[in-house]
Amino acid sequence: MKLTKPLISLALAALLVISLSACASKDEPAETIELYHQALVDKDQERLINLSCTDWESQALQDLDSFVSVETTLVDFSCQTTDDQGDAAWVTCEGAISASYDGEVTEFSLSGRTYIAIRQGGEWRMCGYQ
Amino acid sequence: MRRMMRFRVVAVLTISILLLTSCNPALTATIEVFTATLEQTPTTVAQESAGMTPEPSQIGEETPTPTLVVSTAIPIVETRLPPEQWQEWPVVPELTGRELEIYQRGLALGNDPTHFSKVGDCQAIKDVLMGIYDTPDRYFLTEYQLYLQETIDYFAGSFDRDGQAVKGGYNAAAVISPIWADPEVCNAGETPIECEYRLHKPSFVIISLEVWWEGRTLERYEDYMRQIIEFFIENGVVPILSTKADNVEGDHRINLATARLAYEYHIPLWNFWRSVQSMPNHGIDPERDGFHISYDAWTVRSFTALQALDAIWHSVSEMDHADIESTQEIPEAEVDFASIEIKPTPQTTSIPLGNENWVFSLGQRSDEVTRSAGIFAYDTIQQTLYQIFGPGYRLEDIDYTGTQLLVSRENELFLSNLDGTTQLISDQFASTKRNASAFWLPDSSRLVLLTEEVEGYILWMVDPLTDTWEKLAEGEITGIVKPTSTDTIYWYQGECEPESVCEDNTVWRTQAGTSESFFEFDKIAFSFNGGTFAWVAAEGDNYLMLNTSLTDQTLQDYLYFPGNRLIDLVWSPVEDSLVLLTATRSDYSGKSSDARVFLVNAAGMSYLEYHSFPGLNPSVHWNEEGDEVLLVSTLLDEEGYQLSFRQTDLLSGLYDTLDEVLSIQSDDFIKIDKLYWFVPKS
Repeated sequence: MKLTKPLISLALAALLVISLSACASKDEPAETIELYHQALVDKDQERLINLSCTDWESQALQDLDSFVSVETTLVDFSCQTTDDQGDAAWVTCEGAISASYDGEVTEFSLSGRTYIAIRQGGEWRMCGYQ
Repeated sequence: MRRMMRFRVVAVLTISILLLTSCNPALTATIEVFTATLEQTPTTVAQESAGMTPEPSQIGEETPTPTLVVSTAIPIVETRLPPEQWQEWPVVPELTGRELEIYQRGLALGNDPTHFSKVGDCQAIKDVLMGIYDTPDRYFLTEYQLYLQETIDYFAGSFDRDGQAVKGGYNAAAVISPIWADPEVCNAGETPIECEYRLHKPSFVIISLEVWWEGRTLERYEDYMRQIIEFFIENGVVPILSTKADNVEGDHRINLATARLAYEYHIPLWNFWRSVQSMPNHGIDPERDGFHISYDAWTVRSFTALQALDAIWHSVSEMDHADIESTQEIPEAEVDFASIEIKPTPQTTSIPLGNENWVFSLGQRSDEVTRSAGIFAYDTIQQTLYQIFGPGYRLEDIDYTGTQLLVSRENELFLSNLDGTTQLISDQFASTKRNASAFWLPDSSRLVLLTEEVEGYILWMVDPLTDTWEKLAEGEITGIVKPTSTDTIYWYQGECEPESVCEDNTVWRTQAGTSESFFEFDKIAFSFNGGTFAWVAAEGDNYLMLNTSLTDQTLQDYLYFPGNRLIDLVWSPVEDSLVLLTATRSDYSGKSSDARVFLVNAAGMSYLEYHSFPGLNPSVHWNEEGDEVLLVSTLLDEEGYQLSFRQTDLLSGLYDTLDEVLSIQSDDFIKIDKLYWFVPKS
């Protein structure tokens, strides 16, 4: 009987840990949006296309081309999913793209938009924003 | 104690549930919000991907009623050399004729006639490009340059501003990407050029995007440039394109592409490249990266840009104040066409029956005005040339019995017997850019033709004997496919821009009074019995893919050919074979190779290649037996332009060049508009 209390506490603690780890492990739509923007600033066309839904590919290429003349990095960029419908999700982000040209730095805010991720071919992919 | 433990359990479970819930917010309430919000903002790509927009209606269910494109009443007069010779284009552009129409539309839209904008990168910022002209003590005009002061005064305020479409690091993709627009002054979703247009409402825009991008294709650059050009044209802003001084890419392909776009859209090009050729290092700063221009070149850049703006503005505003009616047409009589030397001397007697003849329309171009120089017949047996109709008449078709011609003159269509008697069929005949507006049906008693009405084009089937007219279709019809059946008529629907190819067209089929979408392609050709059709698609940079398909579309086959340009595709009149002409056009020089000639056996999808042949506007024409072809082109030498006729025997591959017996040459550009090889019968 004396063992019951520690066991229950242990079980509850384990449940809490499982809950937290389940939460922390996979926010895949948000992770996709983050990876997409990383590929964008890395100017990694192949990865960018792999992370885009079919209909977004041409816009992704245009975004990539628009940055081709400048040096780019992500600044304090992170995303989180605000709504997940299973095959489509909404994601909001904080941070910016920093673009440098001839010593002049411009920051393009990535906040204030709602990014749309959809599941295509079993993978989450960036598919636009509002 | 037990109550305490129960509380802890409930608390931990509650926290766990809350945490799990926060990980997966797909609750019913939020789903409703998600859907509703998506419906309110229908522009995102994701909605279509997620199947949230209605399916497009099925094409092919009804006759289209497309909107007729209203063409400008002002003639477009291209006096420039071909784009491949852009280096010889003048620094200060001349009007092509399209600028006025764009300018006037812009004024109607509320554009400010005293404003111009710039679209460009660091070499378009106000310090480098014309900013000095807003500060009187920063520039000096000589006696011969004082005429520019009026332009400086008129556009005051536009010189010393960058606006929203100029920034270091901009390129053709950036100015059409919303992410690059300044959020402090631009609306959400606006691109830099949209933002600049909304804020400044210019009537002219200088587009000078110069950065070459390593690893990107020219096609992508052109695609972005087209979006920019079309945006401004649509909004009534006259685009002025610019060449760049540098050649970072190594082969000037950006300047060539820019010249091509200027030529295609009939818009001005300020040839900055040419203006700095006499400068040290051709105007490039030797201390920098080979891209940036020198300080001295800044002055030349600003000055020549001002000259370009002055020329376009003055020309447009003068035309705008002139009587527009007087500029609607350039009468042929006012154009000084060069003489055409023809050997043998054309006869005006009737064509003898029974001999093989080449009957053709001869086209002539002078000062960018094109006319028909008449209709001729060459008797290949007697080696005699006949002139059937004089200048102004064009050949449309010959019936299957070889006795009746269809001939047009402006809006008139005539039926002509070989004895010269004619019958007016229509005075509302519409000759479209495809040069395919009237054909005989295989029964040789009825014909199909296009007329132009207020509402658009109408496709008719006409029995000229009884003057019976049956309307088959109407709308934005760009041409008819030469019929191979009396029951089924194929025709093109879409748009054909002046002086450009017909693109994004759909082939429609009319059968038993019903029209349906048949195939989406710009050009197809049907076999002699109408059972098979063929089309050609580009396959990479160096190959073309010839596709054939049965008209019931149950079987399809393909074959690859060298070349990146389809020149001509014509089926044999007697069997399932066709002749394909291809060429390879260099992205570097813009020049095309000689036309390569392939005879394709469509049943076995095999082919033979024949001797290639040189010249402009190459075309191929079959004889009635299907064992010979005539290859025609226009050659240019020091004596001017001359037509080349090459008769090729398909069995042996041997050919005769007929320059000695049939010679047609002129200082003007001349070409064969349409040619039929047939035997006149009684």
